[in-house]
Order: sequence, then C-alpha cells, then structure tokens
Amino acid sequence: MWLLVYILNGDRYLTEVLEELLEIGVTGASILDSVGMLHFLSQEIPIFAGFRSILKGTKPYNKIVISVIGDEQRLEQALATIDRTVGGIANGKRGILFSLPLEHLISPETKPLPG
Amino acid sequence: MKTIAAILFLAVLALAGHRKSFVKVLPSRAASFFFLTGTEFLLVGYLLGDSFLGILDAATLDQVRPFLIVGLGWIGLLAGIQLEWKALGMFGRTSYLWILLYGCCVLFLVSVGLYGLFHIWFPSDPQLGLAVAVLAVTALCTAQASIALWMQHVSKQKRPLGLMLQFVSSVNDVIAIVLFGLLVGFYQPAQGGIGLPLLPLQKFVLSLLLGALMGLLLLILFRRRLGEVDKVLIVIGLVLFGGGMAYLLGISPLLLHLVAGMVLANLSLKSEETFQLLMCIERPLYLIFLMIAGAYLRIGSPLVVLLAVAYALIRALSQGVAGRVFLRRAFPDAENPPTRALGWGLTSQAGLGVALAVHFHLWIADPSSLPILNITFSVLLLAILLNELISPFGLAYVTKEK
Repeated sequence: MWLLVYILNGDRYLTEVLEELLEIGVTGASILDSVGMLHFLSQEIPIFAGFRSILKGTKPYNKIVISVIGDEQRLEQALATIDRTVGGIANGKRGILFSLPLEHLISPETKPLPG
Repeated sequence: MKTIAAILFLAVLALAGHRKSFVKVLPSRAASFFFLTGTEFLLVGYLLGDSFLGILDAATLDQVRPFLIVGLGWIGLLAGIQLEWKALGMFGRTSYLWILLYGCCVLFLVSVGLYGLFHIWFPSDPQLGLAVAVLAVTALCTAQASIALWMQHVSKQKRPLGLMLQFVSSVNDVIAIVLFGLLVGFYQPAQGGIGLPLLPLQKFVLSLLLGALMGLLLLILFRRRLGEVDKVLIVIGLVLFGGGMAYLLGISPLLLHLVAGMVLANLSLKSEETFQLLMCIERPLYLIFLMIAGAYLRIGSPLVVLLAVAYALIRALSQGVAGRVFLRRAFPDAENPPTRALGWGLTSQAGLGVALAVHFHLWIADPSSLPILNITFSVLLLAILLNELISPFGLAYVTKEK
C-alpha cells in the first residue's frame, strides 16, 4: 500500500488531476487546503491590499491531494498521470509529488483488527 | 510617437523600480524610510514633467489618461476583492464602530482647520468647499506599506500594534474611497463625459449599481474554466470598460470597481486566484501612479508649500487627537491594549492617497479649472511627501522604538 501525496501550487490543475486519476481507477482522494511556509512567513508589504495582509494565512492557496493506492503498478501510473496532466512538475512551479509506503490502514474496506 | 516612448519609459522605470522599493532594510532614518516606500518616484515624475525634462509634458499626460483610468479601476477592484464579509467579521463590530468614529473625527477636525486656513487666501472662491472636502477625505488615507515596513523591525511584542494600525488604515481607506465616490458625483470630468442630469446622490447609487453589475459579469465569466492569460484579458477588458463608463458618466471608477470586487469576493469561489492576479502588477502600477502624479505637480508659488506644511500638521494633529479619543477603545479584546498614541502612527499618507490625488486631477482639477483646485492638488502631493518624511517619527513614538 502506498500513500500518494501531491502538493499543488494554487488550484489551476486540480480538477484535471482528479479527473485523470479517476480515469486510471484511483477513485478515492482527499483534498486539503494549505499555505506554503515561505508564503506564510513572508512579510508582505501592502499598498492597496491591507486587509489581506492582516488576514494572511487565513486564505489557503495551495491544495494537497492525498490518496491511498493499493498496488505499485497503479501508483506508478498515478504519478505519471499527474506529472503529465500538469505539464511536467519539474518544468515549472506546479508543486511537489511524492509517495510513501504505508504500514497500516484501517478503513471500512479493510478487515477489522484482531481482538 | 512621444506618447508611446513615454509609456515605455514609465513602464521600464516602474518595473525596475518596484524591485528596489519595498525591500527589507532597516528604516533607521526618515530619509531611508522615504526611499523604501517608493515615494521618491513622485520626485522622479516631477523631474520627468513639464517643470524640468518635459518627457511627460501636458500633451503626453493627456494621452495616457485612459491608462490611468484603467489603473484606478484596477486599484478599486483590488481594494474591493479584500472585503469578504466572513473574513472581516473576525474583527468584531465594536472595532469598526470606533474606527468609523475616529475617521469622522479626523474628517471634522481637518475640514474645520483647512476651511479656516483656505478662507484666508480664497475667501469667496466657489470651489473652497470642494478643495477642503478633497483634502479632508484624503487625510483618512494611510500608507500601509510604511506601517508594514516599520513593523518588520520592532520587537515581537509590539507587532500587534502594527496589525492594529494596518486595520485602522484599511478601514479608513474604504471609507475614503466611498466618500470620494460621493464627492466625484458633484462634478463632471473636466474633459469629455456625457453630463448625466443626475443629482450627486443618484450618481453615487448608480456607481453602486453598476459596480454590482460589473461584479456579477466577472462572476459569470470566471465560472468557466479559464487559463491565466484569459483571466488577465477578462479583467483588463472589464476594468477598461468600467473605467471608460465611469469617466463618461462622471462617477468614480474606484468606487465602481470596489463594489465589483466586493461582489466577486463574496460570491466567487475563485476570488483568491483573482486577487493574486491583480496583485501581480500592484507595485509597478503604484509606481506609475506616483510618477504621473509627480509630473502633474506644479509648485508655482510659496503658498503651495505653506499650505502643504499646514495641511500635514493639521492632519497629524487631528489623527493624534482622534486616535487618543477613539482608537484605544477600538480593540477591546487585544491582549495588550493599544497605547493612546496610536493615531500618531497613521501619518504616512501615500498608497491610496496618491491614487485619490490622480483621480482628483483626472476628474476635477484639470489645468483649465480654477486655480484653487490646482493648488489643492499640489498641496495634497507635497503633503504626501512631507507625511512620508515625518511618519517614521510617529511610528517610533507609538512603538517606543527608534
């Protein structure tokens, strides 16, 4: 089992990414709002947008897509699909994409823990 | 040809300049602080204008008028798109009430002081009231960049003071745009316009209605899945359309687009994206406004300098007094209640003040208009320069840090 994590800058490609994931059979994913560390810490010098600088951090701008994927082949497929959909993560500021091996998973689809 | 060259020159200066201004450097002296906030571009514009080099002469300035109108619309949209009720509700009604009272007090004190002063030189001028009203409304504006720059270098415990100052300044900026929108209704733009037979209040309501319609139009267009370039084009197109319409009808593009921005902020799920898009050119646009305003500046007589110094003093005193009475009560839930001196931290006047000055010049104080209006414009710009120079002292007094 694998946890696929895609931290997307902005939400420009969000819908496309989710649609493409669905196409290859990744039917479950969660989307979280987030703010980049540098964006949060940066001292914005407002000229006309004072309210926004006061409310800095209350407006999450990045999106994190997380999904649990059962087999490695589908994971590889999902990684390639996301990379292709956003036009190549290495080519521009499209965020970062990674996966982690999962040791445990408890969900309605899994068997209950013994005991 | 000269117009195109002047526009290119302005664009290059603005793009190069915005990288140098607003940077994190310790504002140890008033002079360095002045340069950090980009206000020196007023002087650059003055040098480029008819008074010295003549690159931005009267004919060229007349040609760039449409760009300035688009710029005003852009600023209005940027100001409006921040006004999301849900987010603004975080501050509590009491804060808004006390800040409103503070604003009214500053307006009253500045109006009374300036009326007495202007009455000495222009006792029977029919535009005396307008001149005083314009200066009183712009007295509400505070340059948030100055506050933010100063607060970068104060101790952490005092940073909430900076947020309070920025909040007061933001609320007052909105009040200033609304009041200026009302004020503009009394006049038809000096050049062009179709001369609507409407009362000022009716023009004000028309601004609100057209602004709401523009906002809805943007909302509908943004519902489609669009690329970034498409969005930029839509915003430029609508701001151009809205600005032109405002100019023809004799209403304020700042107010009209403020309302449009508010509609977008509260009804669109993509307001953050639009805000980021508008922010891309905030600094270069501001520097262009500073340079154009500087080019319009005429210091024909010592009276202008005298009145500017008097205006800056009256404004600072009014802010200090009004702040002492009202602002302490504006933040009842603050961990550390603000000092009574909070009003002195609001003396810097650039930012929206410059945009309102350009708006005033485009709509009302045309060179062909009465001398008092041209003097008012120059007094306002000189006072903005003076206020930038004295504001570090006010901020140092509030934060008790040198």
